[in-house]
Amino acid sequence: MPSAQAKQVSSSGEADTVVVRYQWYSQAHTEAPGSHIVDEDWIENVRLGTLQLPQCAGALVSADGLAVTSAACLRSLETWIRPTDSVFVADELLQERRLAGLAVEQLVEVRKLDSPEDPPSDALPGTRVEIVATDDSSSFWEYTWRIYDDVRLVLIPPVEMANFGDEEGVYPRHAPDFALFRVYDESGQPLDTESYFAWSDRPPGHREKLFVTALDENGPFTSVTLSDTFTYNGTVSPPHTTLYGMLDLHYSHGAMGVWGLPAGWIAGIKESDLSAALNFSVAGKCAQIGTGIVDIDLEILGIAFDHAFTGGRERCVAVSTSGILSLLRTVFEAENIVEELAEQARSAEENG
Amino acid sequence: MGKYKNWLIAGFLICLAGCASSAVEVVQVVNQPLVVEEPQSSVSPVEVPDPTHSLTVDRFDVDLDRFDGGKMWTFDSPPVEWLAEEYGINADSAWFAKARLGALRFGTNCSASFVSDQGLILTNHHCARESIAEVSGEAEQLLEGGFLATTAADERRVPDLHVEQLWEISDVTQRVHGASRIVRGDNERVRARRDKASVIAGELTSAAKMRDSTLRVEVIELYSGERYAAYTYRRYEDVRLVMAPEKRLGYFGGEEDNFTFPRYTLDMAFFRAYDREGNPAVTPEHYKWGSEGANADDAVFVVGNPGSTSRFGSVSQLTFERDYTLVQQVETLQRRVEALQPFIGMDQAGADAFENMWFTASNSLKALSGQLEGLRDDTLIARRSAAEFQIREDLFQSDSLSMRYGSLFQELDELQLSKRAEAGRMAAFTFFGTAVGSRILTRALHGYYYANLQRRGYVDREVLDEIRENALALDDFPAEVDRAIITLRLEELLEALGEQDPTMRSILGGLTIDSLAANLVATTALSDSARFAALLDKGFLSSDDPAVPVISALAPLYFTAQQQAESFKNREDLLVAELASLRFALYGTDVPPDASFSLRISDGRVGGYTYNGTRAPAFTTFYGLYDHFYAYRNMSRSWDLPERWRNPPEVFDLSTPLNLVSTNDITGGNSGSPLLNQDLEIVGLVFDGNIESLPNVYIFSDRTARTVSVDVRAILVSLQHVYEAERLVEEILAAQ
Repeated sequence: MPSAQAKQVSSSGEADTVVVRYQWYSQAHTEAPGSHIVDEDWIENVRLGTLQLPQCAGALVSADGLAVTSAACLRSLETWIRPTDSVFVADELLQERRLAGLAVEQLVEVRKLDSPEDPPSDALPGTRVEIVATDDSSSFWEYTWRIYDDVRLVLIPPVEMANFGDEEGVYPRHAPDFALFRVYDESGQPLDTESYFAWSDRPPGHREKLFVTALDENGPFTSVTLSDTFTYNGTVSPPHTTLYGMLDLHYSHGAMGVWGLPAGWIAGIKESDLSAALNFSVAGKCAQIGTGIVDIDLEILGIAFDHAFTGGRERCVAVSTSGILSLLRTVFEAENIVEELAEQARSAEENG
Repeated sequence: MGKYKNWLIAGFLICLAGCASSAVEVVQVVNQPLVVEEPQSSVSPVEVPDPTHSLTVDRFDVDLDRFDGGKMWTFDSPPVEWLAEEYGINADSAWFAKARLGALRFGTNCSASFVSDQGLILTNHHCARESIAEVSGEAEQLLEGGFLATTAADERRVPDLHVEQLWEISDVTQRVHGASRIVRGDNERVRARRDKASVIAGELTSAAKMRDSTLRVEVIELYSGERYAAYTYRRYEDVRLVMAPEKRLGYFGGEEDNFTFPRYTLDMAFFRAYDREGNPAVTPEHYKWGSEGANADDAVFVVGNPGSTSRFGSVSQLTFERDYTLVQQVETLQRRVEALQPFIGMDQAGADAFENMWFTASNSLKALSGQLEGLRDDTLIARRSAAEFQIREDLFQSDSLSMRYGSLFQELDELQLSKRAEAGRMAAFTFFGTAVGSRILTRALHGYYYANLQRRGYVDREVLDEIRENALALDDFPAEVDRAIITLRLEELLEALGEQDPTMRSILGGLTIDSLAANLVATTALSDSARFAALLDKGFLSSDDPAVPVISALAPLYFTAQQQAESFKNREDLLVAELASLRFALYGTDVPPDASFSLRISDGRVGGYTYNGTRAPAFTTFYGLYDHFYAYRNMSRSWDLPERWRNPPEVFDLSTPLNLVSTNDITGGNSGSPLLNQDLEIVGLVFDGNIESLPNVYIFSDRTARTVSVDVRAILVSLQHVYEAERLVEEILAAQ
C-alpha cells in the first residue's frame, strides 16, 4: 500500500483557508493542516457519489439514482432542448424525459500500477479504463469508469430563474441555477446506489470547512475549502444570500430584463420560505460546474455553478440545497422529489 | 486669547454625508506653539518636478468636464440656465425661494427639512443620535428601542438643539471689500475683510432682530473672500423629538455598510420646531410629501449644507496628499485596526470605549483608503492636471492676472517640496494624541502641556480648565489595549528616528520597546482617569510617574513637528485662497464656490450604476432588508432586526422601495438633506454616499459615485404599518 498522500496543490496566503486536494489515489486516512480526518470509506463515498458529465460534474442525491447539477450543464445539451422548453418538471418517474445522447460516468475503481507498462485491465461492457499519472509522474493509476447512457431529466427551472441577473463571475448572487436528473441502469430501472449525498436543508456555517468534489483535467479530486466572507464594495460579503434577495433584485430593477422573474412564478416564490439560503461562495476554484459541495458528514450543501474572482481571490459560487428545497416545495410543487430527498436524508441520518 | 480657543481638538472629520457615526471625532491636539514664530514666508527657489510625470494617463488623454469642480450651487447664483438646459425646468426665483425655505441646518453638522406646516422636521437617525440619547430617561434606552410621541404633549425638547432656516440672502461684497481696498499685504487684507464681515454681521443681526427676534445674520465668505453674502437665518431654539426608529433600523448594516450601496437602512428621525410661545411653529414653507416617490432617470435636487472639499487646490497638493498625508494616515490606522482587532469582545472595564474607538478607526480607514485609491487613479490626477493647465493658459492671457498670480502654482509646488522634506519626521506623529492614541500617552501629552503653561505663568483659568477637562474626558481603555497602542507608536518612532537618535534613546532609557510599554502600563497613574486628575493638580511633571521621562523626551519633538505643520498650513491656506481668487477672476460664478456648510442646491438624476461586475439598481426594497437580516445573522449583529420588524404585517408590501441612489453632488454636512423632485416635493432623505463617491472629495464625478437616500415611500409605510404612527402619517399626508 502506498503511504497516505495528501497533496497540497494550492494554498492561499490567508491563514486557515488552505485548499488541500485529495486525489482519489490517496489511501487510508488523510490528514491535512486544518482539515478533518477522513477515512477510506469517506473517500469512496465521495468518489461513487460524484458523476462526470460532459465538461461538468454532478452529484447523486438519492439511493434511486436522483442526481443534481447546474442547470447550465443540461441546458447546453441540445439533445433535449425544444424552443418551448424553458422549464420542465416530472411529477412522476414515467414523466422523466430521456436526455438522448447524454452519458454520465462514475469512477468505480482505482488501482495502483507498479509501472506504466503494466497491462491494463480489460474494460467490461459499460465501462471505460484509463491510466493516470500523478503530477510528478512518480506513480501510475488505473481508473475504471462505469458509463450510464440512460439519463433522464427530472426538473429544470425556467431559464429566467436559473440565469437570474445574468451575472457571470459575480458574488453576492441570487440564482437558483440547478437541475435534477436521474441515472437509470441497463435494464431501464432507476440506479440502485448506496453511495449518494444526503440533501441538507441548512446553509453553510460561517467559516465552515466544506469539501468540493469533482473531476478536473488533472484527474478527480476533492478539496477542502471554507465558506467564507470577504471585503468588497466597502462592506463585507454575506456568508450566503437568500430568496428574499432574489425578490429584492426583481423589484429593485423594475422586474425587467435579466432581473425579471417569470410573472407566473412570483406568487409561488413568495409562498416559499424566503429566508432559505440561495447562493454562497467558497474560497478557491470549483474545478467543475455542477460539482457538489458537501460537509464532513457527506451531506450536500451546495452545487457549484460559477467561478468568480472577487475579494482578491478565486471563489466558487454555489447554489444552496436549502433554497432549492424551498423552491421545490412551493414553486415547482415537486412533492415527490421533496419526499424522495427527505427520505434519503432521513435514512442517511439513521445509518449515519 | 483667541489663539487658545481652538486648543482642543480640531480633530479631523472624515465623514462624508452619512458617515454613520456622524462626526468621526478623533481628538487631536492641534499645534499650539509654545514659542510663537512667524510662518515661513519664503522658500528658496528649487527645481520643481512635474508631479504628473510618471502618470500612465496624462492631461492630453482626458477631457475637462464642466462640473469637475462639482455642482454645489449657491442660492446667491442659482443655476437657472443649466436647469433649463439639462432638465427643461423653468426654475424662476420663486422656485429657488421655495427650495431654499423648506431646508434647514440641523444642529452644528447636519441638514434637515420641514415636511409639514406645523414645524415637523425630517432628518437622519444618525444626525439625531445625540438628541435621542439626551432625551432618553435612564431606563428607557431610546436609542436602542426607538421613540414615538403619540401626542403633541409627548414630544420631548432636546436641550441646546436648534435648527436654522435660510430666510434671506443679500450681497455685501462691496461693503466688505470697501474696508480692505487700502490695506496692503495679503494676510492683512484677509484679516481686514474678515473683521469687516463680522462687523456687518453684527449690524445686520441687530437690525433683523428689531423686525423679528428669531432672526440672525451671518456673513458668508465665498470664493475665498471674492464674494461676501449676508445670510439671514431664522433660528428655532425649541426643537423636540417626535419619532426615531430603533438604532437597528436607523443604522441597519452598521459600520460595515457605511459608504455602501445597495443599502437597506431606515436612517430617519422626526423632530418638531416650536415657537417662543411653545406652540408648534407655523411653517407654510415646508416641502410637500412626494408620496409617489421618484423613478429612475428623474431629475432630483439635494438642498443642504455641505461642509468642504479638496477640489480647488493644486495638483502638487494632491500628489503630496497621495504620497504622504494619506499614506501615513492609512498605514497608521491600518496597523492599529489590525493589532487591536484581537481585543474586540473583551469583557472588562474600558472595553466599550475601546470598541467605539476601534470601529471609528476602521470606518475612518475605509474612508481614507477610498480617497487614497481615488488619488492613485491616474485619470483623476490627469483631469486635475488638465484643469490646472487650462487655468495657467487662461491666466497668461491677461497681463494684470499674470502680474498678480503668475508665480502662484510655482509657490504651491515649492511648498509641497518643503513639506516632503519634513514628511518623514511628521510621519511618526500621525494621529498622535488623538482618540485613536493610547490613553496614557495622550494624557501625558495633555499633562505636559498643562504643566508647561502653568510654569510659564499662563493664567487664563478658562483655558487651563479646558485642557484639564479634555484630558479627563478620555475614557479608560483596557490595559492590554493601551499597551498595544504604545508599542505601535514606539515602533513607529523608532522607524522614523532610528536607534541612535538621542530622543529615541532617552525615551527608551535602555529598555526594549516591549518592556517599556509593559512597564508604563503596569506602573503609571495615567492609565486611570481619577488618578491622573490627582496627579495634574499635584504637578504632573515634577512627579515620579514613569510617563514623565517618556513624554518629556517626546513632547518637544512633537510640538516642533506640529509647529512646522501649522506653519506650512498657514502658508498653504493663503496660497489656496489666492487660487480661489484667481479662479473667480477667470470664471466668475460659472463654477460654484467650495462648500462651506452653508445652504447649497445640487442637481442630479436617479440612476443605478455598474459595480462588482454587475449593475447596482437605482432602488432597493424591503425584501433586501430581510435578505440581509437572514444572510448575516450567524455572523454579525450589524444586520439584526428588532422583534417587531421580524414579522411585518401582511399589509406591509416588502417590494416598497427602501433606499435609492442619484447623481447629486454631496459631502459631509449633507446628511439629513431632502431629496426633491422638480416640483419640489420630497422624494428622499439623503444619508450617505457610496464607496465610489469617496474620491469625489478631489474631483466631482457622476460615473459611478452616488448619493444614497432613504425613499419617502419606505418612511411612510414603516410609520403606517410597523410603528402605527397615525398622528404623524396624517400630518405628513395632509401636507401633500
